[in-house]
Amino acid sequence: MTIDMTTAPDLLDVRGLSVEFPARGGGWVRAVSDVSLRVGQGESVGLVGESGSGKTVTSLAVMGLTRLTGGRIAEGSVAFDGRELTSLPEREWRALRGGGIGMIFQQPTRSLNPAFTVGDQIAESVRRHLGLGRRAARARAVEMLKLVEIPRAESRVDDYPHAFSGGMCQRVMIAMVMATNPRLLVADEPTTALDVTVQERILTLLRDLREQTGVALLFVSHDLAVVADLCERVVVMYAGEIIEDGTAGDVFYEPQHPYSAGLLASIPNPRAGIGKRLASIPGQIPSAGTWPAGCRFQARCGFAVPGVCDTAHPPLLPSPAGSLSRCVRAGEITLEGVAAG
Amino acid sequence: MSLLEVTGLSKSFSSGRDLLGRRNRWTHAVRDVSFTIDRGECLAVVGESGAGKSTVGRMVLRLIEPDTGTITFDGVDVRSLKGGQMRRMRRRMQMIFQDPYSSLDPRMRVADAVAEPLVVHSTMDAAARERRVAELLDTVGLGSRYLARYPAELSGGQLQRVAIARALALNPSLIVCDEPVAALDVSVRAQVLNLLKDLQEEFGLAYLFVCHDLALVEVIADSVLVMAAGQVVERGSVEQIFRTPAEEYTKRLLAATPVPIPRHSARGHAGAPSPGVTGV
Repeated sequence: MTIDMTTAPDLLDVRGLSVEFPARGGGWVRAVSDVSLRVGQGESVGLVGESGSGKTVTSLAVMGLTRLTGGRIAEGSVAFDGRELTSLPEREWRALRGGGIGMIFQQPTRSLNPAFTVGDQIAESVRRHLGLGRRAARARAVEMLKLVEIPRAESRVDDYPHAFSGGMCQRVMIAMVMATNPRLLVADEPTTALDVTVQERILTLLRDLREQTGVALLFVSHDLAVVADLCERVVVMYAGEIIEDGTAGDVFYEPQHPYSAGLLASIPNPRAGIGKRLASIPGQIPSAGTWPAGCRFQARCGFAVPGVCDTAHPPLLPSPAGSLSRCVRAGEITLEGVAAG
Repeated sequence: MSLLEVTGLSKSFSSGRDLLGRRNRWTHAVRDVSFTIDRGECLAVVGESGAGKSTVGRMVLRLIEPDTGTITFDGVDVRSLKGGQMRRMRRRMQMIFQDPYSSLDPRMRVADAVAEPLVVHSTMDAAARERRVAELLDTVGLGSRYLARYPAELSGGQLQRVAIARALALNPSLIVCDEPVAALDVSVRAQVLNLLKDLQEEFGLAYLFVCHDLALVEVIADSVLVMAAGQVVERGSVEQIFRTPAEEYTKRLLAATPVPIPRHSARGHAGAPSPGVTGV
C-alpha cells in the first residue's frame, strides 16, 4: 500500500521527548532525551537498540504508560493523528488504547488473563471499544481468531489461555489488539520469547495483517535481522537518544553512524561465510545518568577524534547519503553495511 | 579416540501419577542420542525449545542422571564413577550457563568466585591461587581491577567472562556451554563468542555448545547436531548442515532463521525523514 508521505499527516508524531525516572539518591535521572520520531499512515518503523538504549521507555511513552512504570515525561510531545497525548486524562487514554493504538508485548502468556477464555477477553475488548452486543462481540472474537490463523477458531474461542502454546498466545494477543481496528500497532519484542519457526509465522502474520488492514507498525526490537524482515524505516537508539534514522535500505546497506555499522558487523550474516569471526564493539553502553559530554558513543568508537567528538553534543542531522545521523564525522568516514544481495 | 563418546543416551521425566501415587505418564525428554566430540572440537547442539538439547548437555556432566546410555570421556566410563571419582572428573568437564546473573553467587566477589574451583579441587596455596585468579581474569579480558567487585557491579557480558574464567580455572578439556550468549546484548554477544573461539584455539578446548540460534552456530561450531522432540535429526559438519542439509526439519530451521537483509530495500526518502528536518 502506497501513501504519499508529503501530504498525508503523520499518524504518530513524537517531538523532543525526554523521559525521567526517580534516581536512587533522590532527584530524577533521564533515560530518554530529545527523541523525535514519526510513523506515517500504514508505515512500518523499526525502533532498534540494545538494553539501556531507551527504546522500550520511548514505546511506553507512546502508549501513555510512563507514569504507570514510575517515570515522568520531562519534555516534549507525543501526538497521535494530530492529537496531543501527553496531557490526556486517563479515561481518554483508555479509549485510545482501544481503537487507535494497540500494543503487543514480549510475554504473551503473561499479558492474557488466565481466568477467562480467550473469546471472553477479545469480546470484552470489542464490547467496550466498539460498543458491540454480546452476540456480535463473540462473532467478532471468532472472526479475529480466524484472521490470525488459529485452527478451529469456533471451538478454540472457548479455551483458556493455558491451552495455547507461546506462539498461539501471541496470535491471540494480536487478535485481541486488532479486534478494535487500531491504526497503529506498537510491538515491543513480540517474537523474542518464541522459537524461530514460530517467530517466522508471527512475522508473516504481521506482514499479512498490515497488507489487509493498513495498520501502521512501530516495531521495537534488539534484533536487526527481524527488523530487516519487517520494517520500511529503521530508527536506531543509543544511550537514550536516536543516533540514526533512515530507510531500511539506507541503514542496512549504507549506515551513517559508527554505532549502527558496529551493530550490523556484530551480527552473523550468512553471506559472510562459515566460521567468520564477528566484529565486536568494545566496552558497553553507558547507563542513564552517566552519559558523557559530547558524543555518547565516543568511548567505544573507532572514529572518535579528541577535541571534536568529546566537546559538543552532536545534533541529529541529514547525512550525505540521506539518513539522519548523530555523528559529526558522518560525511568524512566510510562505514560498511551488510553485503548487498 | 574421541574425547567424548556418547551412545544411546535417554531420559524420561514423569509428568503424572495414578490414584495410588505411582508415576504413570512419562515424557521422553531425550531418546537414544549418540555423538562424539574430538579434542578441540566445537559441537553445537541445536533445536527448538523442548528438543532436549539442554538435557543432553546436563547429562554429559551427570547434572541430570541419564536413564540409559553410556558416556565415555577420555576413555573413562563416566557413569560408573562414584562420588569422589566423579568430582575429580568434573575438573576436566566444566559448564557455562545461559544466565550469568543467576549462575554467580551475588555475595561472592569476582576473585572468590573464580578461586572457588581451585579451593575445592586443587592443592594450591593461597599465593599461587591469587596468581592463578589474576591470570584467568586476564585471559578472559577483564583485568585485576575487577577482583574485588561483586556481580551486581558488573554488566552481563562481564559476568559471563567471570563465569568463563571460573570454568577455565582447572584447565578442563571440555566445556558444556548452555546458551552462553542468549542473555547478552547484540554487541556484547560478539565479544563473548570471539573470546570462546580464542580460548578454544589457545587451549585446545572442546565445546558442547547448546544453542537455539543457528546464525551463531555458523560462527562458532565445527560440527552440528540437530535435535527435535528429544531425538537426533541430523549430524554433520557445519558446512554440510548449512550448505547441504539432508533433513526437511533442518531445512525448515535454516529457512526460518532471519537474516539481516532488508526486505524493503528502497533507498533515499521513501519514508523519511523525521520532524523538523526536510531532506538534504
